Amino acid sequence: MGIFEGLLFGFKSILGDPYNLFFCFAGVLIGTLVGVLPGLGPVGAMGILIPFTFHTTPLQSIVMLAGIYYGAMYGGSTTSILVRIPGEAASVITVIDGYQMALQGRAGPALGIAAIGSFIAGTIAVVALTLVSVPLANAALHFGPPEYFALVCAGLFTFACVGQGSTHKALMMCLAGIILAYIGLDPVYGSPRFASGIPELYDGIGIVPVAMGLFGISELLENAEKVVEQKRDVFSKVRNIWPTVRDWMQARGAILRGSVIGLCLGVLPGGGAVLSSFISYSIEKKVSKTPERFGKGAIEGVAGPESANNSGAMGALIPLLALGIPPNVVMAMLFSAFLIHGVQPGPLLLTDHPDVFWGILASFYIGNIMLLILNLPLIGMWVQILKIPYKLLFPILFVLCLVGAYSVNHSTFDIYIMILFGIFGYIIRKYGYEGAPFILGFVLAPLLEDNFRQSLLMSNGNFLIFLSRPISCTVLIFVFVLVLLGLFTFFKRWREKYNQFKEKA
Amino acid sequence: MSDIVNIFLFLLAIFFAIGAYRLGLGSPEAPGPGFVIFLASMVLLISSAHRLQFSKGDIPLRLAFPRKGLKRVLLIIICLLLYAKLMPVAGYLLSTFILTWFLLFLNGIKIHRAVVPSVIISLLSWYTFVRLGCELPEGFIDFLR
Repeated sequence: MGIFEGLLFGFKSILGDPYNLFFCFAGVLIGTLVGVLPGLGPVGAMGILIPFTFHTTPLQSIVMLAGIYYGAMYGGSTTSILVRIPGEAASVITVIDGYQMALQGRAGPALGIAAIGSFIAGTIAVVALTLVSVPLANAALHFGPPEYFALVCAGLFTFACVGQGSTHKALMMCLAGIILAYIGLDPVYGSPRFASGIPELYDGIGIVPVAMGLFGISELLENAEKVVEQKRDVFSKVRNIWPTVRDWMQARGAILRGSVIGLCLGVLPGGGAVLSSFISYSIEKKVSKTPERFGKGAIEGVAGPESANNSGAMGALIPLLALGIPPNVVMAMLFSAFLIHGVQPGPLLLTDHPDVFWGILASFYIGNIMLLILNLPLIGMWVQILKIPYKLLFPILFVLCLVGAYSVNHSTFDIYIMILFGIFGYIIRKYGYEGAPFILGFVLAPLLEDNFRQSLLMSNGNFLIFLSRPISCTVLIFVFVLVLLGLFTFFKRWREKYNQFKEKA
Repeated sequence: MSDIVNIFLFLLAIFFAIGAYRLGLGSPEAPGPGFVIFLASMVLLISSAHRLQFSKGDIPLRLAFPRKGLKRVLLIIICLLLYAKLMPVAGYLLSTFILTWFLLFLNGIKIHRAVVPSVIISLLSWYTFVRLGCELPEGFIDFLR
């Protein structure tokens, strides 16, 4: 099936079934809500909703969960501009110029350009996703266990190196995630590993309670430390949403640059929406003839990052759909949702489940249009939602997490697991560790182990199999260079410290 | 002193390395169930040991966990654990009502004013989740059906 026929097939399956269309709409609506409301990110929302998609078809489930992700990118800008609280990590940078524009009475154009920029970037990224995924998936059909092992290693290392915090801490969290993922039955021998005789652990620890604990409960606990009531000053009067011609002229370059930056970085492990928005902002500031306007309400400072985060969100789907390797934590949740529904994302998705593959791609085109409608004319509704006091939202978010964890297996054991990881997440945040590498390691661990063991079985225990195949060798050399770079930076710092100490002495 | 997370990861790595060794490492020709776990644990062990040795100490405990905030967090954790214990016995509605009532009270809403929002949150969430196909425990109020 060619790309054009495939897309037509996808549109038919989405538009032909009102339920599929409904789930697409539900996803982007919930996503916008998640983006608007601070305190619950797309990972937490996906975790809560995964159990409720058990009764749906794989296509409906994935379409809805993916909609939550890119919908949250749209919604995140609303709080950044109107309340100065980023609803999403990817919208943090929008606060700088978005809120300044709101202070100058230009909240409308800021929201307008954010939504339109997101739409344009999202659409460009979906077109690229459509064009790149198919050839990449076809190429990946020739990959064997050594290539997959190398790709997973590269994904994990790049994620740890590109991430926001310390690389060393990220690698440690990644390893902790990998180790804990092996609790359960051994895939080859079927013997229990670290289950301690607890029957619930024979199936392993579920991704849903772990993710909800690390991203939902831990954040709520952190907020509980300080919050009695957060008074929010919301700009309720939003007028003139359509940007003027001058605004357009200023923002068009930023939108296009943001789209390209987001797409390129989104594909990289650890890149995604957050990094794209930060890099887009700094590039806009550098290429601007009037960089002094940045931080004082420059429309490019809103258009660029908002376009980049949407494009980055879509770009992250390329490695997931084509190779079956999630490049970030949200994609890891989506990867789990695929597996729960018995669908393996990756090169075989196109041949085994063409309805799912093309349906998902078609839903992105439709979802982007839905989001534009939801975010421009209905902006007043989101402003009203922002006025709900946090002290009322706080117990609701807890209840959502608890029921989400319970409903996976209808067992309170998952609630205990979620609380345990919530406490773990709360403590690691205090010391600058991140939950995202943990989740990525946790999700990729079975893939890592299976392919590693299969490679060794194939080669009769010869470790050189990883270097004798061109793709795995190239990828592992890349990982090796990353490690060398990390070590080089480490020794450089260590030497500087040593010299300082020597001078003092 | 290094941070407590690092100490925890160090102990975790030791525990899993010993456990993986006991599970059986096998050989490179036929890797056993503990092979990959052992390798991952060893890398984690070396990383955390390195940080334990060279890290000059991160945030002190009392700064990381301020006393006033920690008290609220501990209260919430206890409340969540009690909720998990209570839900199968008392049912979803009653346990959720108690939980939300307490959380609202903890967030500064007066105890009598917290009753109505707690009832609404419990009933609305129950209705929504049941409609979504979730089987929630009914507890001892099962006879009301």
